[in-house]
Amino acid sequence: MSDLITVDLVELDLPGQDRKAATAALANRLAKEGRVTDVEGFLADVRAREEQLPTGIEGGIGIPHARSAHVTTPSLAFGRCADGVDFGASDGPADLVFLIAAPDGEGAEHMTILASLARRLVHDSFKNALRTAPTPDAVVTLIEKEVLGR
Amino acid sequence: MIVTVTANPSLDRTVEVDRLRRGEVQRALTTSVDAGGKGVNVSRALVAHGYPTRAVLCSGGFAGLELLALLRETGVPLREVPVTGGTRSNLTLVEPEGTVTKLNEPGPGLSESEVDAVLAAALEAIGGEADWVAGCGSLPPGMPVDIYARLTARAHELGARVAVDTSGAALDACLSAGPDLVKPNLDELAACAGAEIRTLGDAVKAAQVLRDRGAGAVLASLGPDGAILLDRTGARHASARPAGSVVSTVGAGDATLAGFLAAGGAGERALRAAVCWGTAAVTLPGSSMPAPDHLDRVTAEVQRSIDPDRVLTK
Repeated sequence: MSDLITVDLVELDLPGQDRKAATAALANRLAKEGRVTDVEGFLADVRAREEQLPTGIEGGIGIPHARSAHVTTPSLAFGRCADGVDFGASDGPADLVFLIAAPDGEGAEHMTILASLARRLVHDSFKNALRTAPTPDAVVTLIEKEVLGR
Repeated sequence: MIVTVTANPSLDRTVEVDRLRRGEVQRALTTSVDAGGKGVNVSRALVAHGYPTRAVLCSGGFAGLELLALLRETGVPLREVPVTGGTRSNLTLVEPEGTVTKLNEPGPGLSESEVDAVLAAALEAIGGEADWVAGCGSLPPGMPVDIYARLTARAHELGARVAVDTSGAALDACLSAGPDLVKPNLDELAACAGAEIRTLGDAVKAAQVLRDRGAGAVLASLGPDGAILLDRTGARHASARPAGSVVSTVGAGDATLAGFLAAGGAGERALRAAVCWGTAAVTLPGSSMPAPDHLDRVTAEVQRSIDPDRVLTK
């Protein structure tokens, strides 16, 4: 099975205009790696979930996500956005954005990642490490260790 | 950061028997033990969603030690207040055809200094950084009924907003202190307002009584009918459809409060989150709290104009 996150799925300088642009930038990385077949279709699924309930979490986090028919491989893309993007958290914009993509019908994979990621985000040390990681490689190593327990 | 205070937590034992026969010795089919406590549940839900929280709770005796051990597994940061009396054990007897019998102990009697210690621990946990403190659940014997009123006054001095989720005399007594939010369920709302509630309109009127007596906002959970929020801007109603069948409504009200506070603790957005979290909780066993992925298939609707004649399910 492919790795959930790779260096090609990390963007340390996300466009900061809005949620749409930030999410699209990460979705395009998924498409480039062949993990998403139809970027627009996938983004529509992500938007539908976001409209139901915003995915922003206090402390500068956004976790847009969707189970989607346009996803071939369970994936996690990560982006850092210095200016911040509004993901609907009550305390302001997110500078750490995680885009989770799961194939439709595959419950378990999607579930474990989202749940274990959210639990780790309680810890400031994890968030700060993500904010200061110098390279995409460092981000991947950090997420694999903290979230995937490798 | 959201601080929760649970003055009367419990060790919840669930025992399954084929049929409960009074006066006989029976063997249980299965047995399980869970950490119980409304504030503790709120903190568990928040941790599962990545929100900083701290749970203040009383703990005493062996049941208290077992409770703390169970809670440590959940990753909730704890601030325990040691008390002399033993933490209560609540017993739930389940029969296969669905009858549930609950035996809830009153909880340990607290001394005056232990009451002061609970308040001090709560204020210390709030520090200067908590946005909200939530006082949750029934009070153990010896705990003065105005404890949530005192918590409200002191927390406000520290700049934190206050939510109270309790019933009976403790709810009555907190209102005049002006908690920012109270979260009664239908029965608690009716009892506190001294009114019968049959329709959504009745529920809004009852919530107005609580506001008139001092509550800043009233979030009333209405079971399958969702929840209403009454604040200074008026009333709203929200309901959601669960993504699966209803498994256990235990703790759903706590998930509702957690969702409301996580989404900022005010307004329509928080109301929507509240019903989503609460609705997700009923599809999970026991007092399991929803994780973020459990919200994905819940669809919620918020109504700004309330149909006052809508008859409530219960």
